[in-house]
This record gives sequence, structure tokens and C-alpha cells, in this order.
Amino acid sequence: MSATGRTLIATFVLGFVLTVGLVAAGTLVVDDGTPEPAELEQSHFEPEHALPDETADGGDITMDSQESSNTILIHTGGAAAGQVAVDPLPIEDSGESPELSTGTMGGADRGVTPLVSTLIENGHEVEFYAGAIEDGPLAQSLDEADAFVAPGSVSFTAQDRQSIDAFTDAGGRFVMTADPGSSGSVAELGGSDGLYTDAGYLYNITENDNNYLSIYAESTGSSELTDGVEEVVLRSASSVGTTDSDAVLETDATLSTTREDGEYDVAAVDGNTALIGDSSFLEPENAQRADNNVLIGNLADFLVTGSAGDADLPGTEPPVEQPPADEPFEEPIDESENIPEMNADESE
Amino acid sequence: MSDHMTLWPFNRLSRGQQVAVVALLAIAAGALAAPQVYALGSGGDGTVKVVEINGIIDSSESQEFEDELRDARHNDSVEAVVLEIDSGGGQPASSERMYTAVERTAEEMPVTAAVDSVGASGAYYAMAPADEIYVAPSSSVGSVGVTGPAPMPTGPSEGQSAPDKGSSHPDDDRADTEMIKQTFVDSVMEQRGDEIELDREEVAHARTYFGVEAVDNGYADEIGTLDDAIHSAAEAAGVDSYDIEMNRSDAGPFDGLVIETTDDGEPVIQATGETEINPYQPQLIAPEVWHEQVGGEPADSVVAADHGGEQP
Repeated sequence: MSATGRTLIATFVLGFVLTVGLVAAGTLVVDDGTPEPAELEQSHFEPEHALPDETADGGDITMDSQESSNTILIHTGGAAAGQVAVDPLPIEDSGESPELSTGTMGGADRGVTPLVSTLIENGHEVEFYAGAIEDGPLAQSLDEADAFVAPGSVSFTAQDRQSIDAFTDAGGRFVMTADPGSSGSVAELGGSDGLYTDAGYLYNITENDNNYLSIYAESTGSSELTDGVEEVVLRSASSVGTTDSDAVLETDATLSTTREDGEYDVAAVDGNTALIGDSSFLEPENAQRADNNVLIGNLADFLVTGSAGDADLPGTEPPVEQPPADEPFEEPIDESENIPEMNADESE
Repeated sequence: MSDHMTLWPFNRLSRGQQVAVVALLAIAAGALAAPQVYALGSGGDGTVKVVEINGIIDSSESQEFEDELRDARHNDSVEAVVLEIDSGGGQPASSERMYTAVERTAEEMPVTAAVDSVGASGAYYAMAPADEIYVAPSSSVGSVGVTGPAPMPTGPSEGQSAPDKGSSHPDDDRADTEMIKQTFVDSVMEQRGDEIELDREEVAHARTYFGVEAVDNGYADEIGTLDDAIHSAAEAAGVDSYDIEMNRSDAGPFDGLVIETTDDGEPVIQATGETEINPYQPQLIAPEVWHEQVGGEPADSVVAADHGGEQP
């Protein structure tokens, strides 16, 4: 290679190295590295702040009563005490499809399972009543029962209401579990006892069992229904009103229709009738939340400590059959007092 | 010797030729440097970057959004960021990711937000750390809450290895939704607690406010549009003249939906593709968007709009 060639190559190499070297050195001087991400104030995302409080869960459902076998009739024909689909709380019960977002499903029979199993465990009998078409007149079923449980959503006939009034007048215990949307039928049924519910639902945005609809209710004082109850969780509560009876559970909540904050009653007892403005506490998924188990046990005691043995219920008579025209029909008036409940002519 | 070597063959040229070569080199170097100098002179003091939040917030939206904001922070010429918002929210985790990206960016430069028709629920979450929020008089903002299916236990199946593989216990569902709500409300109060005149309980009511109401109660700062937000961000960054960088997507907030007509002549909104809202999970979505997107789902699977809403 000639001297000229070597010089040209040397010049190229020198120029190349100088250029790359200068750029590299310049980059080192200019580049200030990948920026550090800024420190953020996100302590509210940390578990100790973000995780919600848990309400105490668990506990057996027990009965104090030593009553011998009672028969409890439970109405399953209405929209409360169990749901079959997850829907919003209803504005008004349809009477056909239960519509309650209370985190449980399966229908009315399953919805009262904790109460039913408690009663059976303590030696009592439970009968289900699904309506006149399936099970005949209510009075006939009531006549064989010592206590009656019905969801507030059931709309009873006038005669059924008379039967229930007569049943409680005679000492039979009656428990209504009313949900939001039941206020119309509750007023029909509970009106004679001075019990009613307001339209709308109760909620509490700040103090709740992890949902604004799941409110805490507390005992108002001494009542056999709330004995030992400090706090229960109700997931679909309506406000209960009374005229002359005692509220037994109350809650600090807001009423949806008026948006008024305040103390609202959610359960009341009038003699042999108890009205609880919620049915969700009876359901299997909710029965052991907070003191719900204590309330259910007390409810079972309340049901079996009545005395409906000699109730004289309108509507218990079988239909009067016209006797054949050629046979004289004897009215057994004299004997009627001995068989008051099943006598065909008692109502006349 | 070295001078002789280095200047070769330059020293063999005549003086006139040497001047000509140097002049040519100078022109070439100037031509290379001129565009940068021109850009520096005519481009102002920096760039205001506009980043969109548009449509349902999902993981791809939040991914793109975080990338854009990271680019803005790493680019020395970007002096401020403006969020251009038209979204009713979406996935909780994606909204939280965007919230974090905005908070991080706002630590380093002015960030303002301008809401078009809706900046609610997850979208409000994302913009909460912005220094200033501009709204039109009828923009919808707020909706600080969670919506999703009601707790729904189902029967067991041998196809799953454990009960929680099927459906979780209602108590767990409630706790999950509550956790998302708590962190959402906490985030809003953390970022705008000084501006919002409502207490925590009222914020948690999750109401959606119109722009005028929002300026009144502190959910937003000013009535204004994107222009106001850009100007405000640039002013806060101290740049008198600036470039505006926009990366507008073609997708509208309801992209993927078409209006069709039923046999009865009733207009219905149909999704052209997969709906981006999962109705089986808690979501940070404004009620109107939820009803529009999920309203047609089976009633037993979601809290659906076709029951007249959830306000007994």
C-alpha cells in the first residue's frame, strides 16, 4: 500500500474515532438518566386503610322456651323471606316475583330455613302454607297452628284478615316480616294492631355492613323479642310505625323517599303480633351476622309461647252442602258448642 | 510534520480554493443546524400536551394513557399536560392506574382537565389529581361510587375445585365493593377535599352533578372548555408561547355501538363488538352509561336498568 493510501486510511480512522468519541462523551455529559418517578401520597390504598371492617359473624341459634310441641304455620306465598332472582329492591311488591337484593336466593322456603330448623330442633312442628289454591282456606291451616309467620308482602283476603285477627285475639302469635314495597299489604293486615310500614327503604351511607342497604339496628330496651340483642344487620329494611305499641328495634338511618336522617323503628310488638320491617335477617346467608342469630332464637321463642288452642276462627267451616231434598236436614245447633271450630253452622 | 500531514491535501490548494472549501463546509453545517434553530426560535418556550380519556376505561385505555403521561414527563420540552375527557368510567383497576399516572404527572408539571359531555365515576377518579378541572355548564361529573351485580350465590359444581371458584359468598362480594368504594371516595377527598364543599358522606352518595352545580360545590373549578384548560396549564407552567401536542383517537365514547331499529320501530342501541363492561364485576361507571351498556343483560344476572332503575 502506498504512503498516500495509508495516510487516507489513518485519516478516516482518526476522523471516525474522534466523531464517535465526541458524541459519546457529549451524551454522557448531557444525559441525566431516566427520571425518578415522583413520590405519591397514596396511603389510603394501603390495606390498613382500604380494607373494610368486618361485622362479627357466627353463633348458634338457640331457644330458651321449654314449651312442648307447637305447630308453626309459615306463609311462603309472598314476595318476602327469600328471593329467587337478584333484582333491585322493589318500589312496590308485585306479589309474584320476589325482588330483593339481599345476597341470597332460592325462594321463600329456603329463606326461612334457619327459623324452621331452630323450631324443629327444639321439638316443634312447622307447616308451610302457600296460598288458598294449594293449601285450602287459611283459617283451616291456622286452626291447627299455634303461631303464624307471614311476609308483609302477602295480600290477604278480608276473611283471611279476620281469621288472623281472631287467631291473635285468642292468643296465637303472629309475626309479619315486611320489606320495602310491602307497605300497602302491611297496613291492611297490621292496621288493626296499630302497626304499619312507611313506603321506601332505609339506608345508611357511613355506618353499615359493607353496603348502604345493610343497616345496623339496635334493641330499644326490654322486650322478649330483642332480649340479648345488641345489634342486628338488616339488608332490606323498611321503617315500622306504631300507634299504641312498643318499638323493639331502632336504627340510625335515612329514609329513601324523604332523604331524612333520623332514628327509625324497624320492629314493633303489639300483644301477640310482631312486625319486623325486614325479612333478610331470616335468610341462611344472613342468619348469623351480628346478633341476627339471637333475634331468630327470640323470634322462635315468641312464636311458641302463645296460646291459640281455643281460637274460634271465621272461615274454618267446610262448605255447607245442601242436603238431598227428600231428607230432613237437622241443624246440630246444640252440639255446636262442643265442637266449635269445625262446626258447619258456627258461622251463622 | 503533523501540520503537513493534517492539512494535506488542503495545503496543496490555492488560497482561493481553500476559502471556497471552508465556505462550502460552513454552508453544509449551517444547513444541518438551521432546522433546529428555526424550531427553537419559532416553537415557543415549550409544549402543552393534550391527552384524551375517551369512552369506557379499560386496560388498553389506561395503558395508552399511562404511556402518554410518562412520555410527557420524560420529554423536557413538555411543560404542561391537559386531559381532554369524555368518559363515563369503566374498570376500577384501570381507573386507579390512570389516577396514579395523573397524580405522578401533576407532581412534576401543571395538569388541567377539560370535560366534554361526561367525566364521571372512573373518569372523575382519573382526573381528580388534576390542578384544575374545567367543565361545560351541562357536563356530567362526579358519580363517586361503584355499580355492579348484587351479591348472588349460586349452587356448587364439581367442575370447580373450590366454592369461591364458582361464586363468592355475599359477605365477600359486599366487602369487595365496599373496598373499591372506600378507596375511590378517599382518593377524591385526598385530591379535592379542600375544594369540594360536601362532606364525605354526601360525596359517597355518588350523585352525578352538572357542570354548573359542580363548579358550585367544588367537584370542578371553572366553567370552560379545552382552550381554557390549555391556556391555564401553559400559564401555570410559565410559558408565554407554546406548542400544542394532540394525539386524538378516532374512537368516540360510544364507538362500537350502533343504533338499530326493532320490528316495532323502537330504536335500540346494539354493540357492534364485545361490550367492554363486564356486568359480573363491580365497575366505576356512571349510571347512564351502565344502563345503556348493560341494560339489555338478563335480569337475574345484573342489577339492570330495565326494572325502572334502582331507586325505590
